[in-house]
Amino acid sequence: MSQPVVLYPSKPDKVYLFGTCLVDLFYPEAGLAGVELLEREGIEVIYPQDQTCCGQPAYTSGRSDEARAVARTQLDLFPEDWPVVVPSGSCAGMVRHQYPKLFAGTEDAARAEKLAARVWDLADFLVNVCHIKLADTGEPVTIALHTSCSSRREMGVADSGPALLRQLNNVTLVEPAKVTECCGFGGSFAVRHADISGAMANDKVAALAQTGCDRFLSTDCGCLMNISGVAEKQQKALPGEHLLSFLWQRTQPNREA
Amino acid sequence: MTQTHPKAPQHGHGSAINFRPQVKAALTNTQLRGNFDRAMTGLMHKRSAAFADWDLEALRDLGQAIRQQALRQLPDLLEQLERQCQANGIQVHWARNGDEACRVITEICQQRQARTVIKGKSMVTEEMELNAHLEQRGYTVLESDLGEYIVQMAKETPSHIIMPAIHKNTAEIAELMHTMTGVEQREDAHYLTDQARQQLREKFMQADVGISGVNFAVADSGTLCLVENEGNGRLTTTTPPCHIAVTGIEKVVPSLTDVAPLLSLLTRSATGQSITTYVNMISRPRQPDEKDGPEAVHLVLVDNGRSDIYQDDELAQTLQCIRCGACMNHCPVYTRIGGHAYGTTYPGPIGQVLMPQLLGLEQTPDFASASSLCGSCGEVCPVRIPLPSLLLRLRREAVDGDQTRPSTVPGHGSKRSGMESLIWTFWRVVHRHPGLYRQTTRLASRLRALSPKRLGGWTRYRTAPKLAKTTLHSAMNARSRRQQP
Amino acid sequence: MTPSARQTILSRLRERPPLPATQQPDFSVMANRRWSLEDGIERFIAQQATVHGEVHRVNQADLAGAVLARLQQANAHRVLIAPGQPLRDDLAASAPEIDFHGYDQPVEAWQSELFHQTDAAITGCHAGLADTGSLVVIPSADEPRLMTLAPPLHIAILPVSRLFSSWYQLITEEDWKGPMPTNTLLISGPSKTADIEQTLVYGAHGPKALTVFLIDGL
Repeated sequence: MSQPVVLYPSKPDKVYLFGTCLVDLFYPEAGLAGVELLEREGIEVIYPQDQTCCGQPAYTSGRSDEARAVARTQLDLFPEDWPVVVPSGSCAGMVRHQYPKLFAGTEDAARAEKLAARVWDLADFLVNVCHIKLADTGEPVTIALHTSCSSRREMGVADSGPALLRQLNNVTLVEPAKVTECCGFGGSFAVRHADISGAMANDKVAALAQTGCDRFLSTDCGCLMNISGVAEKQQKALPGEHLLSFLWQRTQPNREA
Repeated sequence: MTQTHPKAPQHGHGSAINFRPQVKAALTNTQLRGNFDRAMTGLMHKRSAAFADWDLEALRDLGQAIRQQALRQLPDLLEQLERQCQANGIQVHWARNGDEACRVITEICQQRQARTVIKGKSMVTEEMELNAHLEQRGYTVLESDLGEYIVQMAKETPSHIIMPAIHKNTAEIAELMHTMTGVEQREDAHYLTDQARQQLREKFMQADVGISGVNFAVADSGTLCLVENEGNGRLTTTTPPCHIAVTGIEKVVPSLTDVAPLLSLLTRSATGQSITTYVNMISRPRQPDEKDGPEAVHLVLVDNGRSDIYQDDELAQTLQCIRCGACMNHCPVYTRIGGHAYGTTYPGPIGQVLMPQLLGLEQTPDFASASSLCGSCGEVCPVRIPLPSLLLRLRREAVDGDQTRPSTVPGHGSKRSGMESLIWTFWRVVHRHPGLYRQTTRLASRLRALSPKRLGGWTRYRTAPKLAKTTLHSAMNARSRRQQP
Repeated sequence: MTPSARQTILSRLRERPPLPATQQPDFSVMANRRWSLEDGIERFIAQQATVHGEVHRVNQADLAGAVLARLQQANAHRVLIAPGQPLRDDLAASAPEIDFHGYDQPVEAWQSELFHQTDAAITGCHAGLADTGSLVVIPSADEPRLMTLAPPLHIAILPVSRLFSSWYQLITEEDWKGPMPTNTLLISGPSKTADIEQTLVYGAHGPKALTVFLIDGL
């Protein structure tokens, strides 16, 4: 069946933030930037302190029992009927598209389906639910964006990153060659098949560098960690940042003002 | 300048495929990487252009529905096909596995006192290593598809299911044809193709038996559809006095009406063509008043593991495949390692899903995991096989702890190791207990200076990831305390 | 008695309950691909061009002259044409230097001549398909299978009235169900290959050129 049409909710007063474990440990500023952006839109953000991980690492390793055990503890954390926003396409995709499969036939199936239906990629939520308006206050800069495969194919929100960046007047958005191609992260794939993953990541870094961008952005921390790690190892001047961090910094009021 | 390629590997039954060393060799072969990168990039563009004036998603829905319905009625359709073919004068044979199919084909060749066999492209005969089987019994076997002809000359196997010689460039083929057939060593595809045409025309006239594959077998008319560009398929099925068509049992569809949309999907997905030069529909042997065509036509229906795959609702979707190759053309892994690295008849995503089911997970231990799950294959599959989901399913099968659970996948549970199970148990315990998780992650952040700088395969290509000073949990906790009066 | 391969396979397939029900095929995406006659002709010509085919629109009265010009352009001396083909007498009368003959004996009797010494073949077609620029050819006793395959030039005669939007339209309108002719072909352009480094080469194993005469008013 083709992808069903997505029906966005109207803008709520409150949302839950599901931060994801990579953001928690490596890129908390991306999560915080997401919170700031949402709050500026007048939305209160609730961060349940008991959240841990969506279960994806175990799930994609074939360890369904372990994935389900961890995923089940997340099911209890979002009791109100508010949207759950996620600053990472792959974790959003895990909850939205994989939880229903993971819990199918278990006593938690209905709860999982309910949660899945109100999970959103944070950037997509800013565009299509908040209808956010951004005013660029930064210096001119050239940016390349790497949209994660989960954002693009699983969540179908590849348009949201460019839509947000196009609102920034001083940002020139450049597109790398093979823009839709995977960066080679793939979770445990990067370790289990390090050479193939490395070849893919090297090519992605070369394509991004080829654009002459000042920096690259990504919608997913896995991709960010992968691409930045390769660029750094090769000592290439290709700094990377999460899309949300960039958006927040670019839209601060001018210091003089 | 040419480099030598790793020789196409053959997997002996029972021994695991040498995937990892083959991958390493392929990745360091810059010539090979370039050949695949250029070819696959071109094919992706052509495919997308070919569907520009179609409602592609509606067409994929239709393709999926036709294939799923056909599979649902598979045993009935096979019987109908058999009945209809026999009524048309086509002799039908059944084979449980590759060896049995080879024996059936050999017997037909013996009965006809054949000496030379000419072949059109057929992946199912690659599956059963038919050429080797026939050659061992003294038959001369010649591949007539240009790509297959080249691959056979090089004593290799196809590296792509649609473009068998895609791993070679013109210079390499010129050198090969010069060495093997004595033609001038000219790096000119037109010249080389014309030489092959002349060489093969003679062979077509001399061949006693022509062996082809089948793209679609039509049950209600007993028609075998073959899709091709070169005309070698038509010659193979017309010139020799005997034609043997070989097909997997899953290729049957109810009627020609079903073939039309599948054909629209197949050629556009495969090579970006709106149609191939020839769609060749064969329904009977030569009739008394006709002046050409084979006097005998045989159809060999090969199971070779398919009826086992058929037992599982989810994995049965593997059998929807129409062998277009789009999943490999769009696969970032296939593009980088090429078809030979897989060491199996079918490479790329469909190979990674199909081969473990045919050969067993012990023989293909790296297949299901050799994917970033980027989803490109699932996105382009013309019949909507959920390839990423099926890869995940095979990953689950590989580490399945319950050996007593019935499974259609041979070798299920074979990758489960005590060490890995221990790691996942630890992971589960930490992530199921929020307090423990917060303590562990906070501690990790504090001790980040001690975090390792080398992390196996990861740091072979990257620097180690750097833990943040504080976790998001801590930051959000501090924030909410600040905000409270 | 051990069960036959046939029994083993069929009973294995029937061992399981039927696969889960799925959606019914909806063919509207195929049925909707329709062109008006003029648009269809335009598309047919354009599609033929993309596969290296050549289409000439001619009136019945000008057909023989146009075919002859094409034969002369190809420097064809030995040309296959069915005895019943109405064009044959006109052609033979106006070009005595060309040897027109029928495919009038089993291929075994003259295979080498057919493959090596025949310059062109002229055949009719069952239909034309606008969508893909294809010819639908049903070989017969007078126009056998190799006629459209062995000679380097294939000339096909197609009346405009036999142009359909698509193969799907043809199959459904003519109700192609049940028994079929020995061989039925869709032919789209001359034979070709791209097996050598994706370089497109025409004339792989079959004709190197295909010319279609599309006859108006017929």
